[in-house]
Amino acid sequence: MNSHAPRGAPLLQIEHLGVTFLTPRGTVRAVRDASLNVRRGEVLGLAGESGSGKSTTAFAAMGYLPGTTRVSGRVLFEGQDVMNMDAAELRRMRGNRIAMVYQDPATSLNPTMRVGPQVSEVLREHLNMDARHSRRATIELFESVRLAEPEAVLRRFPHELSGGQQQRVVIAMALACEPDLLILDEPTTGLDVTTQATILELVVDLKERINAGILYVTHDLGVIASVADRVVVMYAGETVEEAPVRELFRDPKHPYTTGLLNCVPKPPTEDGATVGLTRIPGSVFPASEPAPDACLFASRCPMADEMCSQMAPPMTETGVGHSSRCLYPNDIAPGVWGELDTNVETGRVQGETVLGAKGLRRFYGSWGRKYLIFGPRIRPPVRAVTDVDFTVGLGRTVGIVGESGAGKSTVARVIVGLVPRDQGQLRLKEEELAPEVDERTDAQRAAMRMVFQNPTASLNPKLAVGHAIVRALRKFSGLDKQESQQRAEELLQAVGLDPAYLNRPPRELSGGEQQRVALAGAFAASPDVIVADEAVSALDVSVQAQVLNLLRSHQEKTDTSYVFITHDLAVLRYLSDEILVLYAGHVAESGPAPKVLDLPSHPYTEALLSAAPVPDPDAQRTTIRLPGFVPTLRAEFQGCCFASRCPRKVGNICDEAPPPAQTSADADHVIYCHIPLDELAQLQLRRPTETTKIGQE
Amino acid sequence: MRLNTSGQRIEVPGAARHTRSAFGRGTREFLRLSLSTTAGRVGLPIVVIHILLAIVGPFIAPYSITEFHLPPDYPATDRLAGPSWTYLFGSDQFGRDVFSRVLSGGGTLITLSLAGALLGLLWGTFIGMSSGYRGGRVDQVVMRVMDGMMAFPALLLALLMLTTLGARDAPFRWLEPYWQGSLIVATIGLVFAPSAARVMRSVTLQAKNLEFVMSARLRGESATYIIYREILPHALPVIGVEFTVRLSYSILLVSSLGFLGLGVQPPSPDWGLMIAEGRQFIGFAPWTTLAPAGAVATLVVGVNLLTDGIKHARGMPQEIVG
Repeated sequence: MNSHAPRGAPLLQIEHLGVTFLTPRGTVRAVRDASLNVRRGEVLGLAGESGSGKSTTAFAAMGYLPGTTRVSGRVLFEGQDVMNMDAAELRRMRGNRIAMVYQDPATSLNPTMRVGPQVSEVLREHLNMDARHSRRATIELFESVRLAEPEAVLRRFPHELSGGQQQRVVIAMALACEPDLLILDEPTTGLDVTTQATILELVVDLKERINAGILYVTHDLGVIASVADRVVVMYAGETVEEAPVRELFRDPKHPYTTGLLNCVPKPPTEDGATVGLTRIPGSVFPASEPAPDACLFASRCPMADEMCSQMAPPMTETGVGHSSRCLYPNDIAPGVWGELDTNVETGRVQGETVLGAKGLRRFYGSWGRKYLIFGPRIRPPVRAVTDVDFTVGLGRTVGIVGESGAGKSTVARVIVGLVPRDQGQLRLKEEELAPEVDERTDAQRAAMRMVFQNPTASLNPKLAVGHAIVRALRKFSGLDKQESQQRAEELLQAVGLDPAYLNRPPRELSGGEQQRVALAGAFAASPDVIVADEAVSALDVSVQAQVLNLLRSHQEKTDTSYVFITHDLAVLRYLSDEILVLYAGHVAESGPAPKVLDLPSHPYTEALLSAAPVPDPDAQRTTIRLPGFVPTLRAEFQGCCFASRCPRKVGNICDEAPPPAQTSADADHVIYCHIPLDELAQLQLRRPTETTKIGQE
Repeated sequence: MRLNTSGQRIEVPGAARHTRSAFGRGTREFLRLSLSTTAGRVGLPIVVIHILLAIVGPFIAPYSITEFHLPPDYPATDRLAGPSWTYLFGSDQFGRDVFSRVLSGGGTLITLSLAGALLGLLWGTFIGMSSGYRGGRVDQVVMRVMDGMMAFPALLLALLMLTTLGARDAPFRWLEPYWQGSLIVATIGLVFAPSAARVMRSVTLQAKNLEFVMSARLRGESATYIIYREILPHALPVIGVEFTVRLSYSILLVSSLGFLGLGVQPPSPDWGLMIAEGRQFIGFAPWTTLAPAGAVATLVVGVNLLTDGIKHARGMPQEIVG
């Protein structure tokens, strides 16, 4: 480190920062009043929902703001105002003193260059190293970010690395010049949970090894809980609360923070009750409007009174290192958002089966030949989904979980018929369903609807919001124009939207509103089954909570069955009655949710559970980390599909024989594993131990 | 900004009103785009003047287009007279007023070019979108056929069609006066269809995997409905640009055909034909060639400038393969 600033003195100080973008479409007040400081040797978590201004604040710390901005306040880096630096000073500071890592590692790396030279280029450019030294330094950097076989990685192209490895390379590049401040902007958002866990571990590890300050920007409170020392929460461009991490989660002093914490689905309590989710009403104060002399959160706050709309609350100290932008920080109790209804699992018996799948199989592509269409077969098709079985009962939810590439989305598309299955049976009630949606009857199509991940893409931007709902009603319910129009308005009201939205263009709606419109469309024909493919993954937690609540209350009212596909275990826990764990297109484990989430579990389920970040800084961290990649799906597995990454692999049998379907006492919980169940339970009780810690990627 | 009138009037999303307001929005968008760059600001007036002159030209022309200005004291003559206040652009070898003929010749050219470009676009849209949406082997075969057609030089294909079909009589008597014209339009349509098909196919391929198209499929909508109601609106800007690009090619193609004697028949004024006829006098009466050539050139340049301007304003790549 090339600085002698005493440990503990702020490295980065942001004081009352305001950033306003002047765009042709109007003024956007991205940051209104943000204050924070980062010290050496600590991780400051900057949390907030989309549009809260957290990324802009991070960019401002780098002095990186485009031309048409108005900036107020001060950004001090080691006492020097970043906003007053000239271009040369900024360039020196950015490369050598402050480094930034962005969300998508794939776009941060040059796809045409091997990664080794990309990193050594930085070393040569900034530290004037020669070729041999820079190569050795690169290898050391790769070792320090825990990349296995650094010499081999040097020669790879970015596309030959997994997402986690790419992000490690980017972090290595950021560390190359031994920066004093490392800014990480959502570095794990696009990654799988198991990969995310390893990156988070790396961040915590780096904090201890390098004497730098780390500013970690994220929307995920679980991530914040596992990496940050202190947290700053932003809302509508303002920092609303700052606190040490434990205090923030134990004793939040701002109603917004409390609400956010209550929006995150939590594991069921001992007696099997799931706690409901808070609904934060309304929407974020628009960035286009100047701040009134009032609390920006007042319109959504459950404890707002007249004072709140008459004066803007300042940041007030409420404890050591804890401050809040609220007039009544000491009145905030866990119950400010009203009693959360707890939902005790009624132990509903598995009723009539609504949807049954047996041996679903889907391979993509066909055999590749050596010479275009002639010659020997050399490249087998991709085995996206192999022999998946499940049943969905009336009014129940089957959650399908797995990492990317596990075949979750393919299963969803096979069920609804967007992608025809190659083999297997699919029964809706008593009827066998045709593989393709076009071949199914209108009644069958009406009985099974789908909600997609990306709400913006699921509404046609060129047609009115209500178009899809009205079409669905006219097709499935046989209503005429007038009636369907009326019914569509009722549906919008049922999902908590203004019926006037019906004729608006979709771009005028926020992401959460768009997803609720998509839900209204799915509810339109009173379907028996709704297939939701990552339906809440693209949404902010508070919006996600609204959508989850909506799904749940709809199910309670109408006994609709859900097939809910997600990578998020917290969401899965909250909603599912049964869980299907997929790995590499195969079922690893299936059964009722409590049993799947409890011991014994399949080693893959175990790894997923241990990797999921929990919004609790004191949560026990287990250390099962998966090495390597999801295997290529082109070849048929001789043994267990998980054998290549399994931390509990017993020996050759795993590679040679397909794992038997082991059922626990109840026949409905199935684990595909060679290890006998009682032995598996024994092994897993002894966690976490150092012996289970498997080498990093 | 929403339309203040139609904002409330749109009641049913699928109703015609919605489409009309979309058209209104489209026109305004077109004007905004074309006037936002210098190229567009120069091109748009040129094109507008050309279109206006093509419409009113025949009525404001000082002389009849077939009037031979052969004074009684023949052979003292007004043939090949130079530009003067009497004959603004001079006169041709028969003593006809070139200015009047240029004014009257624009209408046919623009009509034929517009109709041809439009027909090609219609064909291309239909073929490209159907083929792209259908996908698979059919798509491959259709697109290879299109590639084959594109491999032919446009003019050669047009010559081939016009010489074989043009020699025949019109199948219906009422079609007789329009026979040559409709053949030209059909030919241009055929020649331009493949490139439009290619562009439209790529738009369809992009849209095909979007969620709203999938959700339309899940509603059980027909392919026709999905293509024309859900996907086509997204292709409109692309169609607009493709149309203007094709239009300038189309103008050149029609004039070339006229030049080669395969356009409208004399004595109807045709810029291409006028250039061809004036060619022999270019040494001592250049105005007979320059006037119609200048007219074609300004029209094509105007259209091209307008196209470039719009493309630039939309942030599209300046060169479109085609």
